[in-house]
Amino acid sequence: NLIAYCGKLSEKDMTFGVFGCDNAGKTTTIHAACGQSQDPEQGATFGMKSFIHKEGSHTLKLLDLGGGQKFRKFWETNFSEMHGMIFVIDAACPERFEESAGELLKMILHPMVEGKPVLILANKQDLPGALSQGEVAKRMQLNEKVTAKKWQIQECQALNFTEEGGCDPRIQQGVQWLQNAVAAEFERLSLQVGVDREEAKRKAAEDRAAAKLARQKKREAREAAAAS
Amino acid sequence: LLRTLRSNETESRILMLGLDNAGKTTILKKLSEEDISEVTPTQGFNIKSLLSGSFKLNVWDIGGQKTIRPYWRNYFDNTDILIYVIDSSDHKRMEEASDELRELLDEDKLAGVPLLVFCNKQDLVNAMPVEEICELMGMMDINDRPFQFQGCSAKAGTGLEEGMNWMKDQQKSK
Ligand SMILES: Nc1nc2c(ncn2[C@@H]2O[C@H](COP(=O)(O)OP(=O)(O)OP(=O)(O)O)[C@@H](O)[C@H]2O)c(=O)[nH]1
Ligand SMILES: Nc1nc2c(ncn2[C@@H]2O[C@H](COP(=O)(O)OP(=O)(O)OP(=O)(O)O)[C@@H](O)[C@H]2O)c(=O)[nH]1
Ligand SMILES: [Mg+2]
Ligand SMILES: [Mg+2]
Repeated sequence: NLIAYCGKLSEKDMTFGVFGCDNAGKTTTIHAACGQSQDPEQGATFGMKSFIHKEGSHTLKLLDLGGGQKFRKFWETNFSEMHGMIFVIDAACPERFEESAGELLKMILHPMVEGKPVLILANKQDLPGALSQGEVAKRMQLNEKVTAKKWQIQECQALNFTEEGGCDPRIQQGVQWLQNAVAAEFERLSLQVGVDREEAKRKAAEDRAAAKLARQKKREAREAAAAS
Repeated sequence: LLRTLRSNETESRILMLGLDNAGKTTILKKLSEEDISEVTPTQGFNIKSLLSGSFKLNVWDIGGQKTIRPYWRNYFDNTDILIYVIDSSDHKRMEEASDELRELLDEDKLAGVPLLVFCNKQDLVNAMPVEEICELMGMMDINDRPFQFQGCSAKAGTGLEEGMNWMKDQQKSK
């Protein structure tokens, strides 16, 4: 029975994607959540990176993506993998709430995100002028806009993680809420991830083959032009 | 004592590719604090070990001339990280650079291998910004491996440390 129980636990490996506009603090938040300090000079993410966080017998995978304007349309290539989503907002920058709200809505209306719980982090609470989670939710009209979905907003401060003090416990609380929300519907979400992942793989293979053909044609044209 | 040091050491095989003149050899020399004033096109390959903390990165720098590119595949085995170097000022060959990278990403032997793209020569006035290179190459649809585009100048020595940090983080989380 113990073996069956342990088996069940390890089955609950989860993947969360971390989204949000550039400079919101996604990379810093993930580092804090995984117990690593982050060099504030490291610069923007122009790519993708996964972080593995082991907890007892199961692993949590956090996917960090670039939040810049040009990268957002590619977030969706990773949606199929996710059990839940984390969306980070710079709470000290109300000028960008509208932009954030737009991206958040676009994301949660995507068919591969439907039914997946979302944790919203109102980050940078240490900065002067940072708005509380209630105020952020109000200004972004989350109650009106984010309906028919499990979501939660949580204040936090991702920066100033210390080796001794660890990360802001509010980040852990938020992530714990998301883990619980996913665990509550684990079978349904796993099934969805499984199906979506296969579909995404099939489509990626198709796209790759088409792209290869296109490259070959371009190359021939380039070489013909060079020869003449 | 030596043995304990060894076992704590992470040794990785780094493969560095890119078109000729991209600046691969210059980057490698700069990283090993060598003189970069007299770099000549690489006919075969260079290999250097970079030590940083408990990390040992064995970097293989292969020549990028068109005639040499078919031999790139001889070096694919056991690659831990692929570095791809781009001359950000060479607008005319951006498409060719992009196509060669795509071919590499399709290689079975490099499947899932983390990718660091150095957008080099950012010191030149006509250098394309990193975000633009990313977009032009349409690379953000990569979802089968970790990757990062990093602006740098081998000449000025900027951006290289950030790239090294990314690689170290990558090896740590493995
Ligand atoms: N004061 C303060 N600064 C923070 C906090 N979290 C992140 N930052 C800073 O905000 C800047 C952006 O943080 P990143 O984590 O790189 O932001 P990101 O969302 O990953 O940005 P992209 O990679 O460009 O999408 C960095 O300079 C961080 O040090 C915080 O809680 N408080
Ligand atoms: N301005 C500028 N020039 C650079 C930079 N990096 C390299 N170069 C120059 O670009 C030229 C090519 O550099 P290499 O390092 O030989 O290029 P490579 O990629 O090794 O070329 P192959 O060995 O032929 O594949 C040299 O003249 C370098 O001085 C840079 O960051 N800025
Ligand atoms: Mg980031
Ligand atoms: Mg060379």
